[in-house]
Amino acid sequence: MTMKPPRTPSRRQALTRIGAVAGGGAVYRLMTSLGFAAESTFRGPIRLEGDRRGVSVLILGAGLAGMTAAYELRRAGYKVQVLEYNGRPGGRNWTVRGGDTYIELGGARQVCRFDDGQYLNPGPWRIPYHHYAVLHYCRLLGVALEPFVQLNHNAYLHKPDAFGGARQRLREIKADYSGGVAELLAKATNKGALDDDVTKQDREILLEALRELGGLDRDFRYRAGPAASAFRGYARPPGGGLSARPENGEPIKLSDILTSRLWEGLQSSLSYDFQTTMFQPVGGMDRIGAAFGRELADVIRYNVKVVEIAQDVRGVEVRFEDAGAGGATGTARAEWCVCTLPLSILSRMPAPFGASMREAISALPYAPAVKVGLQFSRRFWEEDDHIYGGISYTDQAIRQIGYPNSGFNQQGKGVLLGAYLFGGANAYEFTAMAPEDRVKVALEQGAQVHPQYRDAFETGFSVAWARAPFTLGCAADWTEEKRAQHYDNLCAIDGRIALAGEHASYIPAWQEGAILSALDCVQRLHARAAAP
Amino acid sequence: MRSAALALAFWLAGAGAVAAQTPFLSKGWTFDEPDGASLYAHVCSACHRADGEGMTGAGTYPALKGDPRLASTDYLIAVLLGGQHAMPALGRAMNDAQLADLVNFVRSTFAGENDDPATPQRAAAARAAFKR
Repeated sequence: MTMKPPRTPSRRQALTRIGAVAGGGAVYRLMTSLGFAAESTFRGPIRLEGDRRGVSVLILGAGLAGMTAAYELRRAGYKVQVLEYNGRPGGRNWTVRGGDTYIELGGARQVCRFDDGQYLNPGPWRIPYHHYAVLHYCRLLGVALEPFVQLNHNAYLHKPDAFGGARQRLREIKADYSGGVAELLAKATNKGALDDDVTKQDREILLEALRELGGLDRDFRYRAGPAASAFRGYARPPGGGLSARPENGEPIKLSDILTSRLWEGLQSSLSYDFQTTMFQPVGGMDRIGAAFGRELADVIRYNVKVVEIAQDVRGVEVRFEDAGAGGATGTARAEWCVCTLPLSILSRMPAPFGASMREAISALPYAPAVKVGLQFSRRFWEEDDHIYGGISYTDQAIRQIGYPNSGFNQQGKGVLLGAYLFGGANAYEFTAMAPEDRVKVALEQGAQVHPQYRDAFETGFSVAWARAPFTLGCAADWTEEKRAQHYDNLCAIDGRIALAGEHASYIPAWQEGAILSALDCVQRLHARAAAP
Repeated sequence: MRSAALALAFWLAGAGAVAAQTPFLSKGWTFDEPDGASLYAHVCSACHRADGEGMTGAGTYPALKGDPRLASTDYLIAVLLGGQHAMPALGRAMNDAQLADLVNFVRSTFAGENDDPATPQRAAAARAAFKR
């Protein structure tokens, strides 16, 4: 969750903290227990056997869960109808481009002024290689992918109170941390401190491994020299002709790295969810939602707001308001219903669920998240800083600066992800700000890392998910206790209604979770519909 | 996007834009706001609006103004420490003095209730009960 005491912070933040005290094994165990590092269970396209021609299913929500359900059920012969609040497919799968208008809850209106070809993915922005279901549908629907750079060694790590506020290259922190630790371990090995734990034979191999992976010299020391420079880079890089001779830089002392805590910024790219290769759709994440939307154009009804759900033994009836018809109410009926409405919306809607389902729906808090996109007149991060894609980390409220992962090494403009807050006090505080203030703070804080912000900024756009009219929050915030108590109940078919969405998965806040929950849901619904 | 904007404009019509707050940023994971008024302005108003009227899109953040349950100090303390529906247990990221002052601010501002005020001691006792 987002707002627990500091000892139990949100998942993503917790990973950083736990990494701080317990090392990778503990992080991995924690991630697994939080449903983070679990490998996708997707093993290929599902097959819904048997003829269900004409059996009707009403699907609430045209996000990835709802559209996956509609796609697969229609393929199996069901008569499907999808109701969607927005005027576009995708839900949280969303990309903002120049010309788009967005009115958040509270009434603040933004018109995006990005140039053609520039965009911000306010929601999901990256796809791990092991999110097999997302990749399957991208392949199936012809959505082109390109690499998403998660780890850029030349990006920055920054804390206002570390190294006098001077940004540090991730590469140097990473190499010098590894080298410093390798030297310590080699020292301990040579002193015999590990004799009880390492055989004599392995000791030699361990020393060799420490030297080769840590960049140690012949005497197992990590210091300025060719071995260290091979990892941390050079004070003056090797060249040609008479200016060829490289100069080795002085490594940063291990104690300085430890006390600065900049090593915290090394963690994310090590974790399973963020290992290479990661992907992004060419042109924006909403290419996936749009592709589904094209497939399902004749069955999705847009701009309708579900206001009440009812069911009896024969079927489901949903009352809605149609914005296209001046808010006129209407009803839709079907024999079955797949409801993908976020629980932040469903929990306050009249709906006919049994006690255990109702409790589950009401049990989950929704985490806030905020993203800010900033367009600059030139790609100074590439031209001046030689950063091509990836992410810089700061412990200011903005947390991250994400660089565009396409259009490299060309003149022209670019849009940075200028802030990405997920949970924590600052995410609420950013949400409470007016959109232009979020941009202003992102500029002020980002300029601590990139002073070029001040001259090159053109226009910004911000999305605070708790104020997104179509979700009222970013994602369901599960804990172990809540899973034990409510997860199975939440996913059970209640009469003629089953829920799907990232909230009904062990991969919350990821598109893979939404799709997998829909696939699991329609297979169970299919079996139930076949039962006499 | 145009049709989406139209739809939203329709549903949000009549809801005036929320007054902008001067930004406040806490240093860490928990809230640094010094008192109830600033906690409300920089945290609660994100969803319940500065004027306590709540907000409605595809779903609703309930209005605090006029909610008869605000008559109960204990109710509000419990909501903040336990969360409710999609609302996180935000009171767990506040200290007892902040929590008490926020409860008093909300009851006073949106329900005109000033009697039976929350105190840090009372907030602490409720917190202990929540920890079980």
